[in-house]
Amino acid sequence: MTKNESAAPVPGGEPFDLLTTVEYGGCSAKLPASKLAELLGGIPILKDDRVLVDISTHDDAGVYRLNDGTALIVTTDFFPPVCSDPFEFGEIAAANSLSDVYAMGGRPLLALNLNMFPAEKIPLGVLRDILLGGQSKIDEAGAFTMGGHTIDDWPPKYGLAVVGMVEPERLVTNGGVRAGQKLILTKPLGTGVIVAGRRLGMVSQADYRGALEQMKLLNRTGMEVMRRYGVTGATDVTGFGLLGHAASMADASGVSIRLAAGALPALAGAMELIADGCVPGAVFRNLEHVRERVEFGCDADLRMLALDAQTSGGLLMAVDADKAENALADLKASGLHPQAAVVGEAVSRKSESVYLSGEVI
Amino acid sequence: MKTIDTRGRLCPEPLIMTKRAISGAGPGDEFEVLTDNPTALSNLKSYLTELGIVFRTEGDTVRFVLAGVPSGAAAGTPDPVCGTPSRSVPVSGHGDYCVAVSSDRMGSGNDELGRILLRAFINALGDAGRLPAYLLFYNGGIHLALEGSDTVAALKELERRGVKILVCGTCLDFYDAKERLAVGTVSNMFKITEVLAGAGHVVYP
Repeated sequence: MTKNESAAPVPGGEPFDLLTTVEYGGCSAKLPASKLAELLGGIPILKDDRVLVDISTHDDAGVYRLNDGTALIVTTDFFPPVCSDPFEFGEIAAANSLSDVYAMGGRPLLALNLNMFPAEKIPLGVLRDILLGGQSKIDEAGAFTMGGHTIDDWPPKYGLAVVGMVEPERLVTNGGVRAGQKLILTKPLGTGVIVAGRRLGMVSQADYRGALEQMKLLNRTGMEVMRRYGVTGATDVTGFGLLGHAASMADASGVSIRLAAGALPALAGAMELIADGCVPGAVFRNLEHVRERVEFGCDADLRMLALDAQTSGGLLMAVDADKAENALADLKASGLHPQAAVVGEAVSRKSESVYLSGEVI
Repeated sequence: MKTIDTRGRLCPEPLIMTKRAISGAGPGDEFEVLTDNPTALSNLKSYLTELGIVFRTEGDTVRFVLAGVPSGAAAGTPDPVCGTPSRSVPVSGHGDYCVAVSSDRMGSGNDELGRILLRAFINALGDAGRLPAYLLFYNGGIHLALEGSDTVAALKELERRGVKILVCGTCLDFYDAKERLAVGTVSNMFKITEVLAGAGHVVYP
């Protein structure tokens, strides 16, 4: 289905622009990570040997060992529109939800649709298109849709709850990074910046399309590369930005991470927007979240790129130094990850979680 | 004085308007940025801090004088590889010095005067041309970072502007004051030693 065929008819014949439903600008309120961590810390949860990963390590998903050969991965994610077209929004939200399973080295198995949709305010055809977009990604992932839940809400939000599977010994966690490994980032950064700029009419159609294609891209190829090279430590880069997720990974793994600012891949147009002052509020929230754990060097614009909240971002994977070149070559050879890059390395634990510098790694 | 009126604009427009104005300006140029919503004001202050620009806030208005060409403002060509020659310069716009506060008084003599002087010192730090990279509190100095201290507000403002505030955890335990810490991060001697050893210079008030 093409974009135009999927566009829902509304009075006047114009396709419905989902971006009109969300606050104009990049300042919309989101729960600060520190507040959330404090709140969750006050809610004790039971431990069990079969629970291999729970919320204590701030990983991408929870993991439960069924037996020696199989562990279940469970995760959910949903958010308000990040693009104009309903079908594409469905694709992006679903790819983002499925990504957490890939980040754990697993394969998606089952999916549930989570819909918050204002039936009185937006034509129902828009919801159909969102779901069609989501289903296309569930299909591409080889998972099965088992149902879902819809409530009336404004603005609309969409995402999935996903169950995946992985062999316990091949589980990839954010705590599995070892000093000496190289860090590969599979997708370019800057989706938050591009979406904010798009709302202000500052982004060319080509650059906007480029960002959408990256957000729609499943992290399946990244997962396959991780399995091929025996990766044990990785995370997907989403709302807390590269620095936030790298810091969580460093803390969970007991290592420090050195990132080379000059090596960070950026979406076309993103650096120009940042230089022009188009910096979404999430950048500053993410800065607060990591300020005490990151030593910043280098250019302010690159710092802000490294703090930009990503929607359906790439995998940040730790690969043994002697395998990194081949893993990177495989990612590029797939044709899906032309901007994949070695962005840093893990080193023995120092005082800070992450060191962002201009030095070449 | 150039006025940038961002009232009625939502983020990130106020930032864009400000960045465009300063990109075409030079050292010594004065600006005032008018805002009308707390998010825009907060983001604008964070943004200026990131750019290494020292500013003052009066109500909803942010004022600053350009000291030099701000980072990334030069013809939109940020230097992608700038290196970090020293671990003591973590944030641009901050000096390569740290301030170590080991007592709740400044100088020796009259204790009451010492407390007044130290409070004045902390309040004046925010107006320093270049902020310290770190503020360290240990032994009796930790009392300045505790609830009820009249220096907490100034310290929070410094922290918000990017100064890392580290408070000695052993000292908090010793004074049984961990619950009352109002600003800063609980730290340890390993980190404090590293900061002191790595600083360009250390100021002991």
